[in-house]
Amino acid sequence: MQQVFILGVNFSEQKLVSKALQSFYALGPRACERIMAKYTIYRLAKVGSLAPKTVTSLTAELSQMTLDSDARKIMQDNIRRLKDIGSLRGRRHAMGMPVRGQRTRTQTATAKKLNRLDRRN
Amino acid sequence: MASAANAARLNILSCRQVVRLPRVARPQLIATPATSLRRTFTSTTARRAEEPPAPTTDTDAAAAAANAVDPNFADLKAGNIDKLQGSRILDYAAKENGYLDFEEFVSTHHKVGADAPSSIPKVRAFEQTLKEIDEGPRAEKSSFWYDEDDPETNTNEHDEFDEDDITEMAHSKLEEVREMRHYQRLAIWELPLLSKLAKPFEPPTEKQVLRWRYTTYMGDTHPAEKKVVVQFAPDDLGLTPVQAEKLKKLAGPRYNPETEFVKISCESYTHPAQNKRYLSNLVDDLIAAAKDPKDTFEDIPLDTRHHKIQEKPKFPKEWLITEDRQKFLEEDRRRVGLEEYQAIQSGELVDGKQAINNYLAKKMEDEQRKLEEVVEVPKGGAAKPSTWASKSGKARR
Amino acid sequence: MASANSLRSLMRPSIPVAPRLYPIISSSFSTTTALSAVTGRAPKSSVVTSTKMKKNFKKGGGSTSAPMKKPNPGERKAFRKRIQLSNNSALAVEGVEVLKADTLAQSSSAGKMFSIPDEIIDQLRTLEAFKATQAWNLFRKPHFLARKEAVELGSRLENAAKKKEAEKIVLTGSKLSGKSLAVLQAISYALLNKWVVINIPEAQDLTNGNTDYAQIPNTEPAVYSQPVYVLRLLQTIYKANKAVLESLKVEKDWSLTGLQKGNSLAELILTCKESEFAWTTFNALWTELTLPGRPPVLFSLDGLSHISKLSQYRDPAFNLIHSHDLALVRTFVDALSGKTKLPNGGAVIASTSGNNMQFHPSQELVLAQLEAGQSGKPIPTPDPYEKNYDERVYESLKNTSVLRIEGINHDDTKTLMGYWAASGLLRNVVNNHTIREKWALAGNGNVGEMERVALLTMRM
Repeated sequence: MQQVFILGVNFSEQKLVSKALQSFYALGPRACERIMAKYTIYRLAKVGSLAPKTVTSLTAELSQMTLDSDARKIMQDNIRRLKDIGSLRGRRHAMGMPVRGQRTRTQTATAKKLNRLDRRN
Repeated sequence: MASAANAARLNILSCRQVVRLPRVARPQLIATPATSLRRTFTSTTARRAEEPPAPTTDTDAAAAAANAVDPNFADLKAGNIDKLQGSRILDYAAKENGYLDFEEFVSTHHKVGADAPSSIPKVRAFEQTLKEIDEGPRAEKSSFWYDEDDPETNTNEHDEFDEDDITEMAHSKLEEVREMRHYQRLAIWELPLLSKLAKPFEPPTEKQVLRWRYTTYMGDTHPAEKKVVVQFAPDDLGLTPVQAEKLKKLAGPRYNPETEFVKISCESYTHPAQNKRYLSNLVDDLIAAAKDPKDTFEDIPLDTRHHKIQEKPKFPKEWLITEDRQKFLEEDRRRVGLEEYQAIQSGELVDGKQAINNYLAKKMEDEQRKLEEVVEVPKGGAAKPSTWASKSGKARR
Repeated sequence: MASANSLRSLMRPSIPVAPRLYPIISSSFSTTTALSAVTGRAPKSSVVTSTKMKKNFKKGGGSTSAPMKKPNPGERKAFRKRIQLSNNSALAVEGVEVLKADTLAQSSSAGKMFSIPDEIIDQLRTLEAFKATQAWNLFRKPHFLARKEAVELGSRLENAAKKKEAEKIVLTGSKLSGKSLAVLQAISYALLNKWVVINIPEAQDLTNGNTDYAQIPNTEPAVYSQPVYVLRLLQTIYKANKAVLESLKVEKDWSLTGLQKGNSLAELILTCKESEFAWTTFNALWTELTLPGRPPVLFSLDGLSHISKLSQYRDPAFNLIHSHDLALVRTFVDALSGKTKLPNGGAVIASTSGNNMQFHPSQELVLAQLEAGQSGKPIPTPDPYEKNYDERVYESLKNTSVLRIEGINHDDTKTLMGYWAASGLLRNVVNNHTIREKWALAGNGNVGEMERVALLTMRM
């Protein structure tokens, strides 16, 4: 199977472009829509159907953005800062509990999964 | 005790032959004297019981009443007034207990006493009854509702219900019926009299273009009382079409394009009169502004977005059975019926079931024939299978 | 005795009724029979043995017993869109006239059934003129009823070809009234008369953003082409109009596409193998077809309201692209509005869709105005406070004529139901009673509703 490189990542030709773009951290549906509109890529386009020129410009476009590890680093720094100044939000992050005053009796699965000092995703 | 008063009463009693009114049965009160009469232990003397009232005839009684009662009251001295007072209290007590007055009570009880040989216990019982009635029945300590903190309260009523009266709810129901009847009587007898006050309707004249609405709560105070509403049709104001259109545009959402009325209300002030004054000024201002030729607003279309006209489905006019329509329908039916009759006669009528049956029958026939052919000519069995289409039966197109 | 028995049913059973048998518990979807051992055991034990509770129930991770084969890509869509034009269980109907070139233009053919000749069935199928929602699959052969409107349409097409003018028609009407079928009839007329037919069977495919798009270079304001769709459309045009196109020679110089001077238009289409050149080729073909001396062209589109609104595509500035800025749609709209003249005559037919309708105030207004103008009624005025009017839509439709298609009359119903009965699908005598009953049930003769009432019911 052919592979397409976008920003150093290998994507299968069968993959939807929107899926491929959104696989990058800090690139959600809205940013993805805008990028696709910019290069006139339609909604159901697959990676294989992209012209090589478009792939190059996509890579160039993405390289301008703070994605993946950079974006993660920013977020982790923010959490670290909250923890360092000793705020409640920082502590809640460290405890793996909801940060913004939600209830904790039930429905804290997301917080338990995500909230920590070195947050991954 | 009240012996003097008793004497006076007895006198009166002997003189007046009062007819006893039929009473509503009061169970407790009749029952209690009966039981008390059976008592054998009393402490009071039975002097009154020994004097039965003199049996008199009707005519005598009337005469006696005229003679006897008057002197009795005429001879009242200052000392006797107290006794009379006491007798009044007794009267009252007797009335309370369902007798006409005290005399009647005594006569009732005395009759019993008179029939039996007079005895001290019976007299005492009688006295006891009197006392009880005077003071009210004594609270029974053993009763369920007896309260030590409040010994005076009579709880007997709650305890003793002999199931010979209708319930309180039923009484109130009866009361309700009585009330309704009262109003029905009013409606029948009093309401027709109101028509005397009626005034004939006078349609508003051309000068009365404003419709005012006030609210009254029939003497009650209510926060909505002060509200005043005015309605008017811009076309009634005697404006030119352009001015009327401008007025409609100025009225904005207060203009109803369906009824073509402008409706404005005001409840900003405390009194209806003030609100009315404000509205009347406002209407004057509106008319003045509409008449102002400086800007006629002719370039602005009338905005009716605030009002959605809901169309009510009505019976369509085309569906009405008029004579022409009736004639047409009859003719049409006759024509169609004739055509159908002719189709049946000539066998042109298409029948789905028939078509299927014909097809199946023909198919079976063909197969039969094919089978026979095969039997007859085993070698040359090249009978070309005819297509379905060529066999389909009665299709007429 | 009888009364005693009847009363017994009211009594409670004195003997306790046997408790319900335990259901045979097996996998939810399995074709194998359950083993008897399973039934003997109480179901409770199975609950007890599974001590470990499943924590989260994900959609995918279930243990389905029978692994189902997934349909191949596109298989389900093909199944959904398949057109079946024949039913061997239906009876063949004899004595139905075959459609000829001039049949639909003759007023005498109104109210008759016609069978579609075999030679154009394939062409119609290629052009996707048959719809999956139409009831072709019930009958042995495709037939249609030439109703009054169809004959009017046919005669107008004939006139257009004679006068060498473009007939611009918008077909409207309520749901299931036969607008798409009228388009099919127009296409059949055109095919039988050797016209060139271009058909866009579903306008929504163009504007719902599900096909490839690209900006056409050097266009200001930007116009967008849809290469993949246009390529497929070109192939459709080639297949459907092969005979006509092969007889036409290229007149202009298209050497850029590697075409020789004397080649035919069919070859012009065939030069296009890549979707990149699809639009150029289509443009060239359209230019060639609108040159004088060519056969008349029928350009039809179904689902007008979808090209009257903003499409789902976005331009680089992230604004929604107006449907008229899509090149193919613009070609059609220009033809419909009369901006592009058809010097050889022909017709541009746009059909609204009843079910898949997008409300557009401008379109509603202009169609209502045109209809009122045609019937001499007071013309509705635009609402001054409506903000969603679109001048482009108004302009595109104002030169058309509206042909409203509604229910059919009693006589046509009789013909149609006679055909149904002769096909063995309507198991009734086609008499006055049946006809008027179905006609009334179908909302005054709406054909689609009549099919539902008469053919698609379970009651026989």
